[in-house]
Amino acid sequence: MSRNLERKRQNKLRLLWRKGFLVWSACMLIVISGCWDLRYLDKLGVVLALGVDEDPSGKQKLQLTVQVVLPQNVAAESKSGIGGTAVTSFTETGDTLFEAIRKMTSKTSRRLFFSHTQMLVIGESMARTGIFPLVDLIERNPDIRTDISVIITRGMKAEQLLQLTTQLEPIPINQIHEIIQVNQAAYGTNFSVKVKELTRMRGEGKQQSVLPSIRIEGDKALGHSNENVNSIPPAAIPVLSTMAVFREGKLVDFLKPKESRGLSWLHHKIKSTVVKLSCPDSEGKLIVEVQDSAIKYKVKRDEEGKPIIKVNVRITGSIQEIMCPNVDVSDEKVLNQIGTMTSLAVKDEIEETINKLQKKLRIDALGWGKEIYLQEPYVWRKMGKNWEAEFPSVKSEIECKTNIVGSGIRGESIVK
Amino acid sequence: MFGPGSQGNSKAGKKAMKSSPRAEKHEKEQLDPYENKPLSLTISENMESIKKELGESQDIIFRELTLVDRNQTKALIVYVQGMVDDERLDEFIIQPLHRERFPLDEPVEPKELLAVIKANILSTGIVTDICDWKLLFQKLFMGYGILFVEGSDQAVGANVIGGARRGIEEPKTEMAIRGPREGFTESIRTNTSLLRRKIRSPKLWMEQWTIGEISQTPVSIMYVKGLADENVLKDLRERLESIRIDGILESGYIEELIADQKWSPFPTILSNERPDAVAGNLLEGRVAILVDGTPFVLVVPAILNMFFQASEDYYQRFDIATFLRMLRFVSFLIALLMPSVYVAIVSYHQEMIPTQLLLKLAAQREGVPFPAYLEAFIMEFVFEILREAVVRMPSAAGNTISIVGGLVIGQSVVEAGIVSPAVVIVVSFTAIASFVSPTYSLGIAARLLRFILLLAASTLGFYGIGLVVLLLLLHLSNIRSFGMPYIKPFAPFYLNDMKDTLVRAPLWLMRKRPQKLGNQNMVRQDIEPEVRKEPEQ
Repeated sequence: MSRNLERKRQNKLRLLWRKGFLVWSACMLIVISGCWDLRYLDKLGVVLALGVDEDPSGKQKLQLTVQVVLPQNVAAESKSGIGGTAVTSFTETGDTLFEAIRKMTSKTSRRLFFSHTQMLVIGESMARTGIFPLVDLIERNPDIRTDISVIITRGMKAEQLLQLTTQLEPIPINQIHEIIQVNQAAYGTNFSVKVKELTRMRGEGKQQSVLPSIRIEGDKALGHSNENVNSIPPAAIPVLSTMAVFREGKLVDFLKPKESRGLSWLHHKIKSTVVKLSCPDSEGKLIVEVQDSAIKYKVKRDEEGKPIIKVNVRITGSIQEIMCPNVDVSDEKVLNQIGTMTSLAVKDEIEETINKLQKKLRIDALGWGKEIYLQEPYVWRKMGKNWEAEFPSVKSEIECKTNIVGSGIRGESIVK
Repeated sequence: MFGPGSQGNSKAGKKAMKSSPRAEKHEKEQLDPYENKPLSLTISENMESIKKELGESQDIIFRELTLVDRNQTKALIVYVQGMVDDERLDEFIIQPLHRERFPLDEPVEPKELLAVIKANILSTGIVTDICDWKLLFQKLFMGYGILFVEGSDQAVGANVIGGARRGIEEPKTEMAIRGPREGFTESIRTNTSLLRRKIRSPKLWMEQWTIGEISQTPVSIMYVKGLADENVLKDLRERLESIRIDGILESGYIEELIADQKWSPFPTILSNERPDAVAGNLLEGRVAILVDGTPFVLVVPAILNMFFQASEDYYQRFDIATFLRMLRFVSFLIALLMPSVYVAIVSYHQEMIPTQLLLKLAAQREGVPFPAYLEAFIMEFVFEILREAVVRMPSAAGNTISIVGGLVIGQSVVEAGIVSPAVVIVVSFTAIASFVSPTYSLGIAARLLRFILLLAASTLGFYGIGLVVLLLLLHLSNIRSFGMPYIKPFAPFYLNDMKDTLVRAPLWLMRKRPQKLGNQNMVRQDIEPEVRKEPEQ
């Protein structure tokens, strides 16, 4: 009995101690952490895009434009057509991005909030002076995501793009963001490149960066106001251009559309696209829709120990449009023939891109250095130091195979 | 007769009792004199002392009559009006005494006469000898008719319990689409019979106490001998016997007085209105506590998992039952966490929500005067007020409340821009989710904890929520109900018991009873008959 009592007393003491500790630690946690992180949602200016240009006055290194969303106007969109613009923009100059951001507080009533930033827009002239200094902040600052995509403006300033209103999406930067996605998914002249991918390219292998580019079609001066989106067609719209090629972070050139898609093939970014072919036996064109593609790199060594890049492309597609007579899609031979033609066309595109990058620009934006580093590290050890000089002479073999799996829901073409 | 002023004293004692245990003891002494206090030999004296003791209460009926024996002996029937069934009293006690000719021609001793009456004349099922005042009052207020015979210091109590009580109705708190429609009633006898009808086994045992110094409430425990854990039974008996209170008006008194955890929002005793649910628990080796005067039967030991089980789970197909189980767990989490998660997200972790949603929320927050956490507090509080109002108000006022509550609070507040619509959505969704819980007591726990979590979320964000949830888990794993860990099949982990937790396994897979519940007989389904082994003691 007394033992029981003793145990009960001990239990009670232990419990008391435990409870005390709990309360103490809970109190400490509140005191220690405080509520430093409290941000009111309605006191935030949500920045959706950052635009960087060169300082027009030339006094400072750069000019930052931010596109800040106006939530009340985004919501008003659904209720009635009359409302302000969905976003606004602020511009500030500075030597660095962060400096410019903080300087901007003299213009914004709300604290800028970068966690939902979706895009980094770099003006063409700024891109020519180098993009890597701009990426550091995004990589370093925990507030900004590293999976925001990067785009180059072509023939204009980033500021102008961020001041453009759009029709399809109330928030302009969403439209630009989606344009890249849709284009990449269905046609493939451009593909999105994220900040973290830019960083990754900088690693071993000396791969040079490529970025999609965008321009404004129409009257840039009219693009700023809501009137732009209240007319059909709008006075100015953003239009995706082609991929831009960089050497050591400095813009060198824009590819031609065909080369640009060739680059997408080589980067394995093509999900679906169309290949235009001349009809085998007659005048007219037919279209093969690529439904699936796979690309494999294999690095071989020739007798001298020089690397040969073997590019193996496999395409699955189907005929979707025939604008010429006498194409008998029920005949397997015809399908095979079209398959071969598709392969040739794609191979041609790819070769053109390789030619441009390797022989003309001498920029390894293809990641071949990386492939050699991964597959033949010994060869890379020898060549790597002098890769810029070696790259143009690297041989490549391209093999392309197409499997045509269908011809749509119609047999014979109506064209006779 | 029982000492001067005993009446006044008992009243004073009742007042004092609530204030201190010493007064309670005092009261006990006051009640004790009835014990072993002999009855008087004469009817008139007995009648006088009853009248005196009961303060001449008008509902105590004294019926004097003359017996049809040789001596024309005088007799007295005492009963409480409204607690006896008048027809049965007439038919089985008064009429026989009037009409039946006594088999004895010789005049007999009054004591013997009483025995004869008891054996031959009274035709009710239960007849009790009464020798002292304690038993007399007990039986009198249970609804017995008490018969005195002149010259005998004994009385006979005949069971004619009756009077108006609520009949068996469908349980109000635990509805079921499929399953028995009957629910417990306020009468403990009806309730025990309802259980007996579910488990017709000689192993269904019952023990009874009278608890409440003044209320004298019958309290029974029922269990299946051989399945129930003897340790739990022993513990339960001790706890019930140690209760010293003036009255037990509802099983909630017992629940609070015998619960393991005095300071926990989580219920460690299950209260249930459905006989089938209680019977199911008895078959799993648990013990039911029935209290007269309430349809809520307690079940011990109760673990957290039981509060998510509805009896209907076992009447439906296992797949749909499993789905519903999971739904309940998820709803509980929503009821617990949703407002706090909302507050944490909009005031601390804006980067966590998709941009489009953020913009919608931000647009709603535009121009709202209060910070998000205050908004959530206000709305939660308003909801609790509404809920309480709806529970307590007369049902005629229902429409008013729903109009005022729905229109004024739901719509006008948003339109006036005082509260953002998102908060209203969150609070209403939380409210709906909190009603999913099949047991009311757990829902209440979630209600309280919600506010604590809200506080943590508004000061520390997700970190605070994590902290409180961690503390809750610690607390939960610390609770025991009659020796059983509260979150049992999860921690400590019993694989076999997991079949009836987040999922409800098919009945043909649940071959064993939950562990650690009187391990005597684990097998639920086997070739052998149900209950067969005596527990080792």
